[in-house]
Amino acid sequence: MKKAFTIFLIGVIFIVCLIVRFQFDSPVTYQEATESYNSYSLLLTGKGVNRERWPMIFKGEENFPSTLAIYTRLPFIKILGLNNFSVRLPAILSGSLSLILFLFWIYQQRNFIPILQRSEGKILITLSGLLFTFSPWLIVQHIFNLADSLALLLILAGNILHSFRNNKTFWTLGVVLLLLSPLASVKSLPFSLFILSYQGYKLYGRKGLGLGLLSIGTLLILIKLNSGFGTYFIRNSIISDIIPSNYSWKIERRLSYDQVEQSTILVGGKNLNRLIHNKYLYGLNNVFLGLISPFNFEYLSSPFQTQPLLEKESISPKALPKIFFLELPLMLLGIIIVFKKAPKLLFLGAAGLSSAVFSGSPDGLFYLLLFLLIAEAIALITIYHLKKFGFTLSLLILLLFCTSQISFFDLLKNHQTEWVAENDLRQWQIWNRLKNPLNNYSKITVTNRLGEPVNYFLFYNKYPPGDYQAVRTLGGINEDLIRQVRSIKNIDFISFKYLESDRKPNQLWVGLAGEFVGKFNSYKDVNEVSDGKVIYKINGVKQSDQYLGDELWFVETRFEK
Amino acid sequence: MKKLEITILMLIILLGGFLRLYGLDKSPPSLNWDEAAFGYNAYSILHTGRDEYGKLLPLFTRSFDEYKPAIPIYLMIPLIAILGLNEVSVRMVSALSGIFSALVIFLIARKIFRSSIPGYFSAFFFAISPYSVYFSRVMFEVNLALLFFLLGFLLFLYKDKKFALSLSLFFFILSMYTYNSFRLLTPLFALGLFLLSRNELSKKRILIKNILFGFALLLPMVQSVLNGTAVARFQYTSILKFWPPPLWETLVQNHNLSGLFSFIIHNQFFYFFWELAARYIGYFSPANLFLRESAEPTLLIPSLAILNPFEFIFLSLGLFYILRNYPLYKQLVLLMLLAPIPAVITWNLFQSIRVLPLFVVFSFISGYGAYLILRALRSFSSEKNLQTFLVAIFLVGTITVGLWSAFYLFDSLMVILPMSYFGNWQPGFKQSMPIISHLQDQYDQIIIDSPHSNAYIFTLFYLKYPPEKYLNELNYEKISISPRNYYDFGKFKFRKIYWPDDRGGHKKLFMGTVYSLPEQDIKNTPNAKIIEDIKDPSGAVSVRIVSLD
Repeated sequence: MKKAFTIFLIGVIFIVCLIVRFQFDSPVTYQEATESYNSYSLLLTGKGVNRERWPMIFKGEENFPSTLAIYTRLPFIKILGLNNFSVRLPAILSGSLSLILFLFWIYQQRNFIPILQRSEGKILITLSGLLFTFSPWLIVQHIFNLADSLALLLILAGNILHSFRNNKTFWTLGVVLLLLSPLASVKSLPFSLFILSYQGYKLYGRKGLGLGLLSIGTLLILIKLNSGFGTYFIRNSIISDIIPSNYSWKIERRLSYDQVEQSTILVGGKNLNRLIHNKYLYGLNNVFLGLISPFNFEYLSSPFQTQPLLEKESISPKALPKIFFLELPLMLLGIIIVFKKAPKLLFLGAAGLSSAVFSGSPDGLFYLLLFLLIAEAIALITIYHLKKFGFTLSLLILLLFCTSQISFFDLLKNHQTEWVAENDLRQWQIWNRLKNPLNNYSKITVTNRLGEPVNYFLFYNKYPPGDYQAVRTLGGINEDLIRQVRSIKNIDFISFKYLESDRKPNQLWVGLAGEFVGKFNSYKDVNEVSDGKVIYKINGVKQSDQYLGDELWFVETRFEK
Repeated sequence: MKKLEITILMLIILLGGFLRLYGLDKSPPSLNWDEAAFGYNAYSILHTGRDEYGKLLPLFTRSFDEYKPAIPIYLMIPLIAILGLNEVSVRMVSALSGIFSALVIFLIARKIFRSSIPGYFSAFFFAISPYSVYFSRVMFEVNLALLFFLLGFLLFLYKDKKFALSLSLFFFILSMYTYNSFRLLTPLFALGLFLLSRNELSKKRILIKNILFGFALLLPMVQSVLNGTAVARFQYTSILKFWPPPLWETLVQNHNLSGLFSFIIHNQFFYFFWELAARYIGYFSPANLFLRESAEPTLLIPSLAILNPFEFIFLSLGLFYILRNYPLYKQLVLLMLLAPIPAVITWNLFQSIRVLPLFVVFSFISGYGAYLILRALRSFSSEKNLQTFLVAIFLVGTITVGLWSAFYLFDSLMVILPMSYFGNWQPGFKQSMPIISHLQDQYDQIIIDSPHSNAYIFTLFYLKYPPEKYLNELNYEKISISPRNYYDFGKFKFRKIYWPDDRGGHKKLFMGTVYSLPEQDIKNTPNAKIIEDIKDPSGAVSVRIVSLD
């Protein structure tokens, strides 16, 4: 009876977890479009978009799409077709499955962690499960980011299998799953490496640490398979902060300033500024900066409220909150309690932290989230048991949680324009407007100033992959040694100056207002341009070049007879 | 104190002093209008006993209608008397406050952590911290208020000594008179300290005496609060600017709901609370503390944030241990939690100047973090040589990186700030006023048009305009209107220059920009002549002086 009730309870939490993650109508992200079109291409042609047969590493235009995310989507796209539902369902399912594994993993820890053996142990597990279910960051990841969701699922599964120490098959399977996680998301590599080493150490002592080397081996194989992957890997990790070529320009600039300004430490013809501006100390300083970068509370907790700060950085302020404000002190309190009462849990924190620090970006903190949620649950229980104001405080926290959660769901479901990334939103608007565009115009030119339009075009138009591989025109190689797609048949994906371009009848040009008429005071009053008519406008476009305006225009060429 | 203790401390103070005092007149490249106002009011009180509005020995001076505290002005008077009215004498009060604060920080840390070593580290980190060095090089009254506040805190820690409690109260209240944000923080912190130490403060008679003493000191402040002068600044900076919250407004516009449902889903109190929470948390955000340059031009330290990046590890470690052993460090935790409150109720997202006590707490905590590492290294091995080796490596490493950070900061302030950020510092007045001074007797009117606000105060400051004369020439009726919009005195007029209208007169001197005094138009006017074009470091003309004979 008791077991049946537990299964029922887990079932209920799982279903709630699924329901809160159902979000299919919002525009696809760049990552989703790239990954799913690769899956589509594999299904129809047996090749990725770059004509490689069933590859282990896929190359995108600016990134390396997740291998496992592409392969995982295959059955869903096969059955359901290429659409938002088939693209997101695997992410939602893997996220919800992670919840069950997460609960199971905490339950497994009861023999090692005293706090789980006490009466509040079950409450702790339930509370952690609830926090997992309603965590805004996890919800968002489980909807839009199959790669990281899968990586987390694999890590949890691998970790659980490792607990069956006497069963070698399970143990080996655990190793395999952990080694696979970097193929889902490269950010998870330090996390899985840490866990592998830890589990190896627990089982074999110091010799077991060698398992960690396996992960490094995996990485080296991946780099060997594709040299560009190495560049990508370095660019997306803290390693890039240490490489002198990435900051030597800063040193030179500072030294040249010192020359011009006659710095006070330019003594007797000797430039003592070299003592300050040199690669060793800059490198060390960059390591510190890299360590700090993930801890960006503005980005994690309040992108709406902190736009003026975030807009100055490369981070887009258009995002949903990842961690509620009130969770931050709770997490901190929880970590302190964990140190005192459940130090064995720290390995999970250290593993998560390794990914965060390695990635050098706030997104890397995602892998620390599991530990933080448990810490938060522990803090909540501790607060509840406080002699003075325990109940009142808990009630207040509950109230704030509920309000924050309602607000979050309101934003998620009803105010997509407030948080959907600008490029995703605009590309969705463009390609919704242009269904089967090639049938109506002799040539179409779409600006690439709002993200890379090719992948969105392929996704929204379900463009035949075979045709795409055969007829696309590649542009030059960019700084990351990746060749961009310039056109497909008679659709060009380039930024343009309309007035200086070769215009012919029956063409469609889609671009920012400034690309058509240059800098202008009142774009909204313009309905006609030279040899063309503005047939549709999208207002309120946010982009960095102030000379191009905030309107997206669809212009049909019309020539007077 | 032992000789070694004094030597280490002296070295730290010397380093801090060098960073704060060297080239005080060169970086920041010129005075901002607040500094000029502090300086000229001190100059005016020195010569007439009255501020620029003619008020005799004021407690708050009206200045730009935000009512500046007069305590920094009084402290500036002897320096101006000795050094004259210039950048150095104006900024010296703030610079010296920063230097003395390092000493007070050492004493507080030694008392709280019961060891001198965390004190050295805390003082060292404070002495080289970008925020403290920068704020010490500009006449920010907050720096002086911080020194008073720290003195109050230090004396409270020695409350058992005779008069320590009264002196503590005196300095705490002095901090309230010196900077706005302390008017909220100091009472909260003092009350918190009292509650935390209520068992130790058992002598009721002494306590009552001190409370009465405190009330007596606060009486003038109460009067200033009642007549609005002590809270005038808050009217400009209040977070109520965000009521109703902008996000709430956007959501309501896009998604109309009604009744109870609307109250729950789109609740403006919740979104306002969110605004407050964003600000509060922001003051603890490592990105703000270590990575981001200030968004406020006059608070911007080139290429640096508030703290030196290498402190991050010490701060994290120290913070963790202090929170874990919270009962031992209640006062620090209390100050850390209270310090952001005055800043949270203003509209700015991260305004470093309003939370200096918080950054000082971080210096304490970083110092303790470094001490913890040192302690761990000392007990790492039973072998004495290895112990010594590890400790030496750690100390040499920390001092090297610390010194590097200090000189990187020095270079940023002495080279990058004047060269690349001169525009934040009202360029042109400093260079043009000697020319105006030289020519002023030859002209009937001097018309000043400036892209910067409050040009009149720079004119008064850089001309060292005699205060008696200025007070005689003031039109008291016109300046009584608040906010003030009339600044003329003597032959000086402050207004827009429009050359087609202005070119008709005689014996006039104009000071303006290339836009208000276009070169071609001046050449086309027979009796007009460009006397001087003052260029900024980029080579562009920032001020043009034109005569109309």
